[in-house]
Amino acid sequence: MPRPWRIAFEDTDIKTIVNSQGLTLTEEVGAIVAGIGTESRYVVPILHAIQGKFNYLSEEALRHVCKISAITPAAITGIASFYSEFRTKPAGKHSIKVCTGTACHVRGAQNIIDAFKRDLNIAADEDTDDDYLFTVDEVACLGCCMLAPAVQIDDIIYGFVEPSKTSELITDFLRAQTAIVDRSAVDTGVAIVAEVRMCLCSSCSAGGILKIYREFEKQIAIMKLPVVVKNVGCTGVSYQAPLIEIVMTDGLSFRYGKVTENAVASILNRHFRQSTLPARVKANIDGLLGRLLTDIDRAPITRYEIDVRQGADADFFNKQHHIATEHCGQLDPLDVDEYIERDGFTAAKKVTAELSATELIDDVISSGLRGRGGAGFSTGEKWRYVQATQGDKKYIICNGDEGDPGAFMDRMLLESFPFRLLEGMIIAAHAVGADHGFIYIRSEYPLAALRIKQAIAICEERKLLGGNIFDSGKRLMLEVIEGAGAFVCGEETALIAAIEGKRGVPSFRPPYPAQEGLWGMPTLVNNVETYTLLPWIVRHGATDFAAMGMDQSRGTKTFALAGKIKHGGLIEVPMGITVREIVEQIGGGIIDDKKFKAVLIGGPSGGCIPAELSDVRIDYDQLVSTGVIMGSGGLVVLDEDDCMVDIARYFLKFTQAESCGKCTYCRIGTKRMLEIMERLCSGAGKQGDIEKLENLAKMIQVGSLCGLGKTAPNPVLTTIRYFRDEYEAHIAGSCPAKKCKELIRYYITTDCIGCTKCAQGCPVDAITSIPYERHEIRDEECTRCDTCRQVCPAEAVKINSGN
Amino acid sequence: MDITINNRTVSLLADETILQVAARMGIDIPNMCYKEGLGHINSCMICMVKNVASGEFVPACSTKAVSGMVVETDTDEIRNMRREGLELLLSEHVGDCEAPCTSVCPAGLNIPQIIRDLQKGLLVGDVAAIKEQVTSYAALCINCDAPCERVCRRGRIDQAVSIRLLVLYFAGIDLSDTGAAVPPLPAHVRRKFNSHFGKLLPGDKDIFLREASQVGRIEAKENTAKGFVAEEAVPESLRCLHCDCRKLEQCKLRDYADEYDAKQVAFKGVERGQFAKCDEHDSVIFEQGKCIKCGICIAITEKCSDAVGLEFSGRGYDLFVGVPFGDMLSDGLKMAAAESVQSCPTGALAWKNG
Repeated sequence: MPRPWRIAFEDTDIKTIVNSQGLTLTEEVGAIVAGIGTESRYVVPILHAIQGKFNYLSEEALRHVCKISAITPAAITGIASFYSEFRTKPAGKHSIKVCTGTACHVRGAQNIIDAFKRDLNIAADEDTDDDYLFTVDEVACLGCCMLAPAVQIDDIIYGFVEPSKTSELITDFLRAQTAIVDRSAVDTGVAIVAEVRMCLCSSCSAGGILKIYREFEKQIAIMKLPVVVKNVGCTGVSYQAPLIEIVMTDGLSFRYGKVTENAVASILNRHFRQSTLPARVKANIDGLLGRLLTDIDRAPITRYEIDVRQGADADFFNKQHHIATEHCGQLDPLDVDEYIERDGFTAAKKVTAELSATELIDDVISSGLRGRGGAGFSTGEKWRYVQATQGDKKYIICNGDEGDPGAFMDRMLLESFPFRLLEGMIIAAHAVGADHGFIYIRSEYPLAALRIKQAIAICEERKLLGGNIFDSGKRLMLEVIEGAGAFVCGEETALIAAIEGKRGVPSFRPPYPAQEGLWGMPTLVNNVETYTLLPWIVRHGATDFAAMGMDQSRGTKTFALAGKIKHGGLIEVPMGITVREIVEQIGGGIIDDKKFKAVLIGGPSGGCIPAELSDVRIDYDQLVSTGVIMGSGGLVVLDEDDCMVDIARYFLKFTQAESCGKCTYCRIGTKRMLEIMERLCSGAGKQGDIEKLENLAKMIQVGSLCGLGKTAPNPVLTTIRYFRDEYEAHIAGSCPAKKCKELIRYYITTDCIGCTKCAQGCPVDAITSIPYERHEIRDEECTRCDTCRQVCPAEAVKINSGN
Repeated sequence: MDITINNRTVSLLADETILQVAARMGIDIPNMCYKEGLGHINSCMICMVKNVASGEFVPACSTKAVSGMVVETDTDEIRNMRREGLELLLSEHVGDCEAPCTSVCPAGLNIPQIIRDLQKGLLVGDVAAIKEQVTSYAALCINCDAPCERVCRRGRIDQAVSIRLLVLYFAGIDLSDTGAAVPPLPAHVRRKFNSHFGKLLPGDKDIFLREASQVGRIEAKENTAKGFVAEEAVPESLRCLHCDCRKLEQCKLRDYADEYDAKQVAFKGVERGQFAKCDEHDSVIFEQGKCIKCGICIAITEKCSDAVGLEFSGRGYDLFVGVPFGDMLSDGLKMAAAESVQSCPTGALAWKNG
């Protein structure tokens, strides 16, 4: 009988399995450890590698690691059970990760999970099918919020997933596994006349850009065109994904949004004449035949004006100011020459050659730059502390553990502008006197980690990093550390513990990292965005930066704009912009012209700003007056269909699950709050629950050690503050937004035309349907998956709540 | 270099925490996860005090005392915070301070202690300290409805321990002796006998004892007619599960809960962990349900360099202290056993026999 209070390592006979190279488990683990290192700080990479190899962590493998390295049994079991990425049970061959970020949550992520489990016949409390083919997991946020709901199957991200389409998705994925992609290169003997630019970042991939990329390569090869396909940094225009831009050598450019595979050939035909007449004729006939035979590609290609500062996209860009995202949509993320051509590394060179640390720090202080990670501490002041502290060695850390569901700014910056981040770190390292640094990237961002690693390698080769930067004799070694699924590691003391190879648990400050940080040495921790702003500040001067924004908040801030908004994506705007400007102008208003209800700022640490307060300016200090904090910059827009109690419960569930468990108030208090929130959403709320929530919230804020606990109650407190009537309605047994499953009922009105579509779509056969007669939903069988309402052509499916 | 705590000002020594300064001043700040020499664990947060200047609450155990600091340690606000913190800890506490038999005993007899004495072959005459209490009240058992046996946890497994007969045997009351005087119970007292929670109030006991001397013997109930002999009593006593806490008198959680009037019922109907008793160690018992996750024992095993040691597993609400790989507790706690048991602020780690 399994004993309680024990990590459930699944017993297997894996140790006896010999792999294709004839290696046993211990030999393979031995090879992994030898390749990574035997010091205790390598425990997370070793666990990642073992899980990558065997798809889970077996007790046998971990015991062997302890035998051959400095890692203790206590450390390895503590860490394997701390990070959510690690699993001690075998997983399926492929992993399906359903994003449950905020944007995906409001667009029905739970229904997607249910649908996958139904399709794969997985019980509610299990995660893997009987054949060990697929494991269905939740993931905090894939950072593809504008394409919500998003799902990642192995390396492929799918956007706009519908519950009724999950089985198609599985089929598509399995087919793609076997498909052979023709990646034949362009004929290099011809002078290039144009570039087809597209961004291959995670969020664009979710929009389907990879297929388009391959199709362009294929068609260009077939047509033998003097055109190259170029991977560029993201423009942030997620709502047009997949988006491509054709740029001629003479500078003319054409943008196409929502491109389909079938449209690729016609786009190319439109711009590039075939080299010979027979080829042109053939291409046209082929195209015509293709259309006749397949009846596809009838929909016109959406074409945008050459100048994007007109029409729909103009509003999206007009209010923006690109500093961290400078040259977005133009730079190949990994082309260092191109970066250098556009003033890249001039700031770092200038700083190392001409400026003393003190001068540089004074400059940054006068620019008014404050940390973009959320707390908003003055960047220059922080540098001054680190610089002033004596230490044998100093470290510099980039915090890329962007964990807020609904935020993807850092991912976009890491994936699209890796050199800018590295340049920023060179500048900061010069200021504080550090010669060794770490870039901590959350494990959900594998592409970001890969690109930064590649960028570091390129820079070291070019002497932009390493032992002798710019031949100046200065030294900066940078390493990438990948996380393993722990939101709390975004807190700087927890981040430092994680890099040291410990459980990512925060510790009490003081001492601050500036005094005693990584391995006890003075350490600078800044956020990704903070670093990427630095090259611009140095090149243009502190005054230019301080000219943007207002009061104590200067410069620009990137936001991930998502939710029920027409034009979402990554935006960079001057501080002090109003919520209204973002929602109505940049965002283009609410989808389907529904009523704007509130905007969520700062993810689970932030809170909501109701529509009535949309003239509030977004800066560090004004936001506080509304009960919200800036956080790292996720902006999720909600409309009248969103239930505020459900949203608050969603965020609390997130922070509760991510609490490290150190402090009493956060560990138990958030759980007790969540129990009350769940009671409310399931119709079991009681009088006095709201007051209990407020009381617990106050205690958790005061009695928690780190930012996670101190801010965890914010979503509940702000929603109570602005939407108390909704809480009261839940206690009375109804959900005004008709979202909370236990409080609603689906029914079909007399508008029903008897088409049976709903019954065909219903995954649990809960609809009685006779053709041409009004259908009926059997309430006791209904799972409230909403499919019937989505497929009904007559809008005859309605939801009822309360009495 | 002065600091003001609760309106009293003293001068600071180098490198002192608020807790240490306060201790020097004779001000007691409650704390559970703090242990001299183990570094700053700061997890329980019960030692929170208010830094008046910043308005912040800080853990006194790890906050350095700084010159000019003004600190409050015992205002209503702080006491409130502490009470609620303790109530949160109690809301996940699984395990009793007192055994159910004791808490329902109308006379308040410390039954588990009597049973443990019996296990060692002792009788009331051998245990002078409790002689008076037991002999005064044990006779009550004859007439009692025995709520103790109804709530006995052993009863959920097979059969309840025969507590009454054991107590009578322990007290040396010979049921066959016709001279033994056992009084009938006054009506209002009898009612309390049937209550799970009611105990005899001091006044009731007086009535009972007074009447007992006047009335003389009554018929014993049928099932108590025959008393235990030694050969029966000792094996029966060994059936006791030892539900009462082994560290009743050395539990900080219990002491502070009393002091701050923290109630376990503040959070009703909430999720609690399962009851579990780890019996794998020769001399130590580990009860997860009583653990407050302070990490003192883990720090001690690290300090003692126990090869296997203890560790935190999981995170958040599911955090627990365990032996790596779920190995035996006897492997995890070796050199560190004595200090860990002694330093554990609750009854989670306790000596098996004590």
